[in-house]
Formats: sequence, C-alpha cells, structure tokens
Amino acid sequence: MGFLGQMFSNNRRKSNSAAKNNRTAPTAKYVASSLQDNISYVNEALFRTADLISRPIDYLSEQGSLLYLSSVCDTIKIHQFILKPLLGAHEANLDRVLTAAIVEKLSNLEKAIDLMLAGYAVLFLEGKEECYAVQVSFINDRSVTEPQNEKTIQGAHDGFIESMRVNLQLVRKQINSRNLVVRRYTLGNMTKTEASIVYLNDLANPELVEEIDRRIAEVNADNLMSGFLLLEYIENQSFSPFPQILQTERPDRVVANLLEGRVALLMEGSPATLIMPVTFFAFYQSPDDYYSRSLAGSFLRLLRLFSFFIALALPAFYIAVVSFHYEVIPMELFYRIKGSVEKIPYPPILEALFMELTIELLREAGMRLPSPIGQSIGIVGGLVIGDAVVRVGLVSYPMITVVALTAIASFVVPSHEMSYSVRLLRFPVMIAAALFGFVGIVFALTAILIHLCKLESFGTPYFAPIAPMRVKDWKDAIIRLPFWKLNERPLDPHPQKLVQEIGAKEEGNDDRG
Amino acid sequence: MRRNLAYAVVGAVILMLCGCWDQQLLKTERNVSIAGMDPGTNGLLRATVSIRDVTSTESGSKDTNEVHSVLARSTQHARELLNEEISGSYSNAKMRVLLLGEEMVRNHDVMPYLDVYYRDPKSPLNARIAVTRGKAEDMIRIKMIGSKTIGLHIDELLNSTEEATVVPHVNIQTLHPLDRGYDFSLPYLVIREGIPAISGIALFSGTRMTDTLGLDESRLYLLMAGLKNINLRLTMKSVDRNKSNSYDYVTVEVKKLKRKLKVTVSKNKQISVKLNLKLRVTVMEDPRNHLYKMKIMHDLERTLSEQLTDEAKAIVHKMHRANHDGFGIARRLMSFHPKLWKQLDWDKEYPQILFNTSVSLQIVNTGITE
Amino acid sequence: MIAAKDKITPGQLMILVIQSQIGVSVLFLPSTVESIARNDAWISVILAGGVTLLLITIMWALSRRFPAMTLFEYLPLLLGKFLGKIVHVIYAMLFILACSLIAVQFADVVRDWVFSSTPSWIILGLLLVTSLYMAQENIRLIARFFVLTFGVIFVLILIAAYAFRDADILYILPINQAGIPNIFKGMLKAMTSLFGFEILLFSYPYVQGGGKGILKATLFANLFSTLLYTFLVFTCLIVFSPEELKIIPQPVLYMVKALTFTVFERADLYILTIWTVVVISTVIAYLFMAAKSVSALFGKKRHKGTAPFVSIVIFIIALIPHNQDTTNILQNLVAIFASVSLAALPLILLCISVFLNIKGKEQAEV
Repeated sequence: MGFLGQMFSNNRRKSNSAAKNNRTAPTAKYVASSLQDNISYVNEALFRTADLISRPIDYLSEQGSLLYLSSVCDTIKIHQFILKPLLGAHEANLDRVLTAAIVEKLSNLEKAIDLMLAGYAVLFLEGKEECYAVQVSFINDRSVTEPQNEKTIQGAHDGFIESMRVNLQLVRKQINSRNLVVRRYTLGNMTKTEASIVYLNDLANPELVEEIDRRIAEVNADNLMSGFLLLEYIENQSFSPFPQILQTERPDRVVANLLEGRVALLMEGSPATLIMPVTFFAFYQSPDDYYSRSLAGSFLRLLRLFSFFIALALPAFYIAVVSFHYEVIPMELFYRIKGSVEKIPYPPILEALFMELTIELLREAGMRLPSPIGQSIGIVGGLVIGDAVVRVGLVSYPMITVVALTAIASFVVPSHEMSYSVRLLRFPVMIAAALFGFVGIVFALTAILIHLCKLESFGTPYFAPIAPMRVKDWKDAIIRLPFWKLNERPLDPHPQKLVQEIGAKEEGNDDRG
Repeated sequence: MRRNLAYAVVGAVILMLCGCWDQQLLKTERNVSIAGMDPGTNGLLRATVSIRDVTSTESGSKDTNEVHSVLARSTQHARELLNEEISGSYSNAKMRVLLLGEEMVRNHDVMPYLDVYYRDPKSPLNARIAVTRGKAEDMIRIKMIGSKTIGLHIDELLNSTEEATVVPHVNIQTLHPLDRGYDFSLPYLVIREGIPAISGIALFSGTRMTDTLGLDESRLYLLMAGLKNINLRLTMKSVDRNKSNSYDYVTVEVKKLKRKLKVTVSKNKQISVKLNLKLRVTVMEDPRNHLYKMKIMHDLERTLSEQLTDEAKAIVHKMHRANHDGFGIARRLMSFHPKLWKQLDWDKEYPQILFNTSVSLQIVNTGITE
Repeated sequence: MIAAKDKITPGQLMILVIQSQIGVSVLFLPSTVESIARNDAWISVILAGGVTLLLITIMWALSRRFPAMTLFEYLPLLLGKFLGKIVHVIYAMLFILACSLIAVQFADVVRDWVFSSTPSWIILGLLLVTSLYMAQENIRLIARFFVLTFGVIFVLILIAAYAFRDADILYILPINQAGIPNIFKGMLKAMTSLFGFEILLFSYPYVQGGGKGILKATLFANLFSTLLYTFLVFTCLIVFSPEELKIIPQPVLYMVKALTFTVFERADLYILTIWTVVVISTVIAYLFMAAKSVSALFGKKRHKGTAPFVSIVIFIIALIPHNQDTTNILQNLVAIFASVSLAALPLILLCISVFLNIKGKEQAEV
C-alpha cells in the first residue's frame, strides 16, 4: 500500500527556473554582397555537409547561385519553380519570376540557413544583400489510411499520417469554422520539430489554452521528436499509472473532442495527436459508440467500464477468496474449485503471478514477431501452455479461467495506454489481496480511487463526471444517449459555451413520422 | 525522489515480511459437509463428521467422503480431536447440516454444545439442523447414497421438503433460542431401509425435544404456524372418513393461507387463543370426478374443513401435552400483555390455555378438468 | 478570501457531513443503544437526531457570524489569545482522540470477524496510510471522494434490508418498555454516533451560496444519518430478541451472516468490506480536522505537512488499548471531549459573539 501511495504521489513538475542556456540565440549575420562570401559562409555553417548543393545560375547576366540541401529538397520542384522561370525570364523583378507558392525575401543569413534545413532552396545573387528562399521541400507522405490500432467497424476510415500539414488539412476539412485556430511551435533545440495546437476559439477555455501554451513553452530539451516525448513533459503527473493525455490517430475523434472545447496537439512526424484535457472515461470511449445506435453504444460503454473492474480486481478477488474467504463460494462450486486446487503445490498468489506473467510474455512475444509467426505464438501460448500447466499441476483450472478472463477484459479497453495502466495496477491489487484478503482489496482499490479523485489533467478533474459528481454528464460519459438528448457539452474542459444543441425532439413531439 | 524510493522500498519490505497470519488456503482445508452429535458415555460428546472430497479429473469429477467420529468433552474439543485425526486442517465453514441424535435432544440441553457455532466468526450459521431417530452417527455412517455423499443428500432432502412445507426452515442462526417467546421444531429424520428419510418434525419445549409429529400433522402444524413455504399439498379422505372406501382420497394444493391468531386475556386472567385458518386450495387429484356439480364441491369443502379442524385440534392437544409453544403465544403475551407475562409461570400456564381452532377451506379451481 | 474555484457546493457539504457522521458505529450502535433503551432503542436514535439538529443549528449560527473564517481563525477573536489557545487544544484533542477511537474500533472488528491473528498495527497502519493519502488534500478533493463513495451506503442498506426476511415485528412491542429515563440515556449513547457534523466548522467558509443553504444541507445530512441509523437499529431490533442483542456486539454483521444469495454466501464479509470504505471516509474526515487544527495551533496555513505527524500520533494512541476496558476509557474520554466541544463550547462561543457583538470582518460574497 505504502509504495502504491508513493508511486502515485510523485508529483513531478519540471522546475522551470532552469536556465535556458541550452538554446543558442541566433546571431544576426547579414547577407553579404559578395556571392562567394555567402556560399562559403553557408558551407562553413553547415560544416561542409555533403548534401549541400550549390548550383551556379546566370540570370539576366547576373551571377547567382542556388543553394539547397539535396536530402530535403525535391529536384523536380527546383526545376519547375526556380530554374525554369529563371532561365526564361525577361524581368528584373525576381518576385514576379519565381512561381513557387512560398517565397521569402531574406537579409538574415542565419535565418536562411535554418530555412534550408527545412527544405528551402536559397537563391543568392552577386551584389545583392538579399536572398530568396523558395519552398521546394520533398514531400513523401504515406497515404491516409485507417490506423491499425484504432479500427472501427463503422464510420470514417481515414487516419492521421506523419505529415502535420496533411493532418491539419484532415481536421480543417471537417470543421469549416473560422473559429478553428492553429498555433504553431517549433520544439526541440536540436530537432526543431514543428508542432501546433488546434482549438476552437469560441469553445476552448482561454485559461486552458494559455496553460497548455505555457507548459509547451517551458519545455527546454534537445529532442522533442515525437508527441510521446512532449507528452511526458507537459502532463500533470508522470508517475501516475493513469494516462492524462489521450493519443489518437483518428481525425473524427480529434474533431469530436475539439467540438467539446478540448485542445489537440499535432506534431510533425508523428501520426498520434494528443488531446487534452481528458477524463478517465475518454479512454473507455470508442468512435464506434457514436456510429452505432444509442442503446448498443450505451451497452458497449457499460461493458467496457465493467471490463475495467474485471481487469483490475478479478484475479485479486479470486486470490482473496481461495486464500482467505472460501466461505463465500456457494456450496457446489466450492467443492469443484477445491477439487481442482487441491493438488497445486504453490500458494494462489504465485500461481496467479506465474500465469499473469506468462500471458504478458505471450502478448509481448506475439506483438514483436512478424504477424504470421505472431499468430502462431498466440495459438501455441494459449492452447499448449494453458493446457500443459494444468496437466503438470502448476496452475489450476479456475486460475486459468480467471487469468484468461482478465486478459480478455484488458484487451477490451479501446486505448492502449489505459490498457497498460490497468495491467500494471492489477499486480499491487493482487498482492494486497494475497496479504489481507478482501480488506486488502478494499484498501488497494480505495487508494486507487483516491488517486483518481486527486488527479487532474490540465486543471480539470480527471475522474469527472463521477468525482466531482455531475449526473448530467453521465449521459455522454458512462452511457451514450441519443444525440438529441445531449443538450450540453461535458463540463470538465469548462467550454465557453455549454449548450451544443437545442433538442427539438424533446418538446413533446417525439413521434415524428 | 530518492527519499520516496526509500519509502517505497521500506513499505514493500514491511509488507513482504509480515506474511499472512490469517491465511487459510482452500487447498489445505478439509471441509465437513455434515456433522452429528450424540451423547457419549460419562457426559462426553460423541461427534461424527463426514468430510466431502471432490476429485476432478479430465473425465469428470467424483465425490468421495470419509467419516470420522470422536469422543470429546465439548464441541470445540471435538474439533481439536478431529484435527488430530484428519489430513489437512479441520474446517466446518461449509458445513450444510448438523444432525442431533434423538437421545441428545431428549435428555440433554443441546445449547451449550452449539455455543461455539455462535461464537466463531467462520462458523456456518446457515447450516440446517435436524433430529435423527436413534443415533446421528448411524446416519452419517451411511456415507454414500447413490453417487451423492450423505451430507449433500440430506441437505437436498431437507431443502426440498422445506419447499413443500413438510418441515420448517431452520438453520443454526434462526434456532438461537434466547427467549424468543416461542418454541422451535426441527425436521425429524429416520433411516428407512438404509436410506435417510423425513418422518415429520420434532417438537421442542425450551431446548428439550418432547414429541414428534407425523408427516400429515406436520404440514397442518406448519399451516397453523403460518409458515407456508412455496407449495403445500394435503391428501385427505374425500368422503366421510368412517366409510372406508378404497380410492376415496383427494389431494389439494394450498394456494393461499389466511391465518388469524388472537390471544385474549379475560378478567380472571384466563388466556384463550383463537386460531382461524382460511385456505384457498386447488384440487390436484380427485378420482371421483364429481366436482362439476357445485353441491358436491361445497360438500367436499365442508368435509375437508371439518377434517382439518379436527386434525388441528388434535395437533393443539399434542402441543399442549408436549408443552410446545410453536405459535409464539408467549411472544404475544410479552408484547401485548407485559404485566401479565411477568406474573406467569409459563410452563404451568401453557397447558391451561384454551385454544379455539378452526379451519375453513375453499376450492378455487380444479385443474384443467372439473 | 477563498477563490470560487476552491469552493464546494451545498450538495457536497451534505455528503461530507453524512460521511463524517456515518462510521464505525453503523455496526455497534444497535447493541450499545439497546443495552440501555431495550427495545425502544429506535426512539432514542430518533431523539438523538433531534438533539443533533439543535446542535447543528447552534454551530451554524456561530459560523454564520464569521462567514469567511474557520473556527480557529475566530477563536482568538472571541476568547482572547490565551483562552482561545486552550479551547483550540481541546478541539485538537477531540479530533485526535475520536480518530484514534474509530481506528481502534475498526481494528477490533476486523480482528473479531476476519483476521484473528493479524497484529492490529498492520490494520491500523493500512487504515491510516490510506486515509492520510486523501486527508492531506483540501476539502474540495475530499468532498469529491466522499461523493464517490457515498453510493456504498446504499449497498449497505440493501443488504441489511434483506434481513427483514427473518424479522418479527413483535419484538418492538411493547413500546416504552424501558421507560423514559432509559430512552434518554440511550439517546446520549446514540448521540456519539451522530458526531461528525463538526466538519461544518471547517467547511463553512468553503461552501458556495448563502448561510440558509448551508443550514439546509447540514440538516438534511443529519436527517439522512438519523434515518439510516434508525433503520439499522430498527432492523436489528426486530431480527434479534433482546437477549440475543445483549451478547452480540455487532448485530448488523451477525444479522447478514447466515444470508445465502444465489451467487454468494456469507454476506457479512461483503458488508465488512463495504463498511471498511465507510470507515475510511470517516477517518479521512477526522484526520483532516485533526491535521487542520494541529497545523492551525502552530500557525500554519496548510495542513499537508502536519498530517503525517498527526496520523503517527493517532496510530500510537490507537495502539494503546489492548482490552475492552481501555477501549471503554478511550470511548468515555471522547464522549466527554465531544460533549464539551460540540455541545457546550459552540453555545458559549455563540453567546459571547452575540452579547459582545463580535462578528467576522469579511462578509462572504454571495
């Protein structure tokens, strides 16, 4: 118990007064009039990297040079947007000649080098103290396919990819509102990863947006390559077993959350979008709930929440029963269970730990191997090992049943992070049960509940709408009532507007048609 | 961070060190399914238990049991002795039936022997209690009936007869007879051709058994006590019972019971009890098939009512003789006439009480034929 | 001034009070009151509820004069520095002792019913560590947790109601067998179970809305607790005969022990499990109050740092009683402290406040 508490209470906020000496302040170095000076400066600044290409250009009898990094630039675009217009040009005004969508006129050489790293080609001209940066980055996007880990049966089948530009487009496509705001960040002192937070200006609580902005701005690290890295910097408690930020690769899920007044964070290079703030129940919701009928959706939600309790407490309950309180088993079942546990040499807790660890091993092995072998591992593990351990007499049949049920229950959770949490939390509860029976389970579960009550995600209570209790919000958190019943948005992200629809159907004329 | 880690480690170590004092592993326990008490020699107790085992193999499970019997000073002492005799540790937490030998309850106060059942938090308070003719040990030594162990058999036997309102529903908890204001009765078992069977109920006066009732009597007794369970069937002569005819029985099922029990005290402190039963019944079997005539039906109602009234009177008489207050007259006196109750010598007073018993019966339907 | 964000609603206050009131005594109350008031115990409980109503009103009237302050902030204003400190210590002692008593009784029940050989310090330690984890937070989070665990009380009621199967209403009769003096004595016993409403002194400034709403919420809470206790006492009275109740210290558990449901047996183990949650809530409330008063004694605003030390003190006190006698001494001590600080002191303080016309400087914004 004690260590559980320790594990939970480790509130870890980075001390923000840490000196920001990691960041190199950009020194202003201006474009020189000499072409050769500029080229050699860039060459030195990039430490003579091999992929720096310098192409001399003759433009209206002016000497020039086009510099770009071949690894990030698209040669076809260079040809089409720069070379072709330049060579056929008759005008002196370069602004009119270059046909690319993004052309920047720069006098700061350092800035130009940064842009080159981001996929720009930079054009220097002899005698001019300016240069032109043209966006010609090489785009190699995966197609927009359904994410493997968040499949739904009905509903949209598109998913985010590694390109933030495409992802933003997917979001914008579904919310045609001028209130959709994108704030852009460049994160990581070395990686310089593009990131942006997206929210609806008239919905999202400004305090929330400011808080997220503050936390992102405070992060000072070299590597912020993926959303997951950033997540641990900005979440409330990293040592809590519960995830406090929802990761999803589904645009519809992001859109639905934006419309509840939450904020989404997209990052270049990772398909996972972070949604914050979220509650515990968000992890038990699947887009499928909204694509099926309200009754079916509600049933599935309740089933999933029930699975939380099974996955958390069923093995513990069984251990407590067979090692402390066997009186509670009804008579006939009692003798059956007794008959099968009689010949097992180990105490139930060891039996359970052995079996649980075996299942975890199988799961891990099946996941790492290529899928044809992975499947056979699952079959070998499930059938052969399960049967063999009983025959050998290491584990009893009831325990196999319990562990298998628990494993299935933990698969039901739509979110992977939550699934891991539940699988981890099971072990302390099991140990508590093995030490103190039902009383131990109660203390362990109470500690978890207390932790859930105390936990906050960006200033909103994590366990809403149960703690604090708001029965009104249950109809979209615990069950799913028909959409015309959901008059108000959930309160937990404190949206600026609560009302989300006016239920015309409720005005007494339910029977239309 | 480091301090927290240290706390966590210390906490974990403490938890691991403390072990499990009260662990009672299911696999090491030997569970009694039925126990019996008989008086032994020199005031000792003869305790007999049957321990049930189920061995499950791939082909299915098999019931076995073993019977142990010890001569002990007290119930708890018997447990200690049994524990020295059996493999694993003795446990009666899942005991289903407690049998009491007839001699035990006729000549001894059984309550001291039951004390440990009330005191032990793990004791099976929902175990049924029954009295056996002869020794309880003999019944437990039957061991197996068909493929069922004796404990399971008697438990199911008692359960089904409880549902048919042949015997009252009694377990160790409901027995707890500390001044409840009424006397209890227990199922009475006999061994018939080597098989345990219900033969009625045993009436108690205080904690001593005084008399028994047969099967027919016990049904009516339970009706009079207002303890009708799920169903209750009575088979009676359908014509005047003096004219003996071979196949003249009718079976009725009691659908609804209205019971009125009124205790009145006259001015000279004479206590009289008015017990009025109104039964609504369904005819289950009537071989003569005459019930389509209303007159015959009413005749039958009258005959049956008279019969039942007579039998009820006989039962009351028997209860008087046995000094058995099964209807809770004493409780009513305590509640409604507390002053009178304090002056009474109940054991002497009870046989003097006037009972005015009447049973009336009404046929409400006759099955799918008339 | 307390920010609106840190405030609790009157509904939360209601549950806060209920959870602080309903604690260990759920199991003990029927037999302790019955031992004095016999089968009129249920009348005693109702009367106790009525008296508590009065005490709550006094406490509320006192708090209302200082709407933005907790008890320890206005004690010096009313009594002066020295006297105020003494009264403050009395309150702190009450909370610490009451919390220890609850812990002792919990450990006793666990020992008697499930873990006969587990040393009580383990059980006490588990109870206090779990409670401490919650009690060091602010009242708002505690209120949330209490609302969450409020549901288990209804499970308790449901299982207990099942025992009506074996009930005999005649045991209640005749009414007024014990006599009025005994009923009143029983009432005093029953009063101790309804203590816990003193959390009002700590939570008053944190509640949203005006004074009327607070009074209403607290009175409703008291009504609920009284009804629950009456229900349990009544059920036990009609299930057990008076002689049985004399020898059964925890009749609620005993009552359900023989119940057999289709899916499980031995309902007492489940009741015990549920009751553990109820006890944890009460311990949290008392630990919170104790930590608050001790930290106020040392002039600290936050109680997070003091709470572990207070719980260690409570742990040590709870280890002292080894038998029924010492537990009874502790019980009497708590009863004395409680009657002084919950009945007498608020009235005196209210009188001082009214007659000397001392009022809180800040008015609560509504």
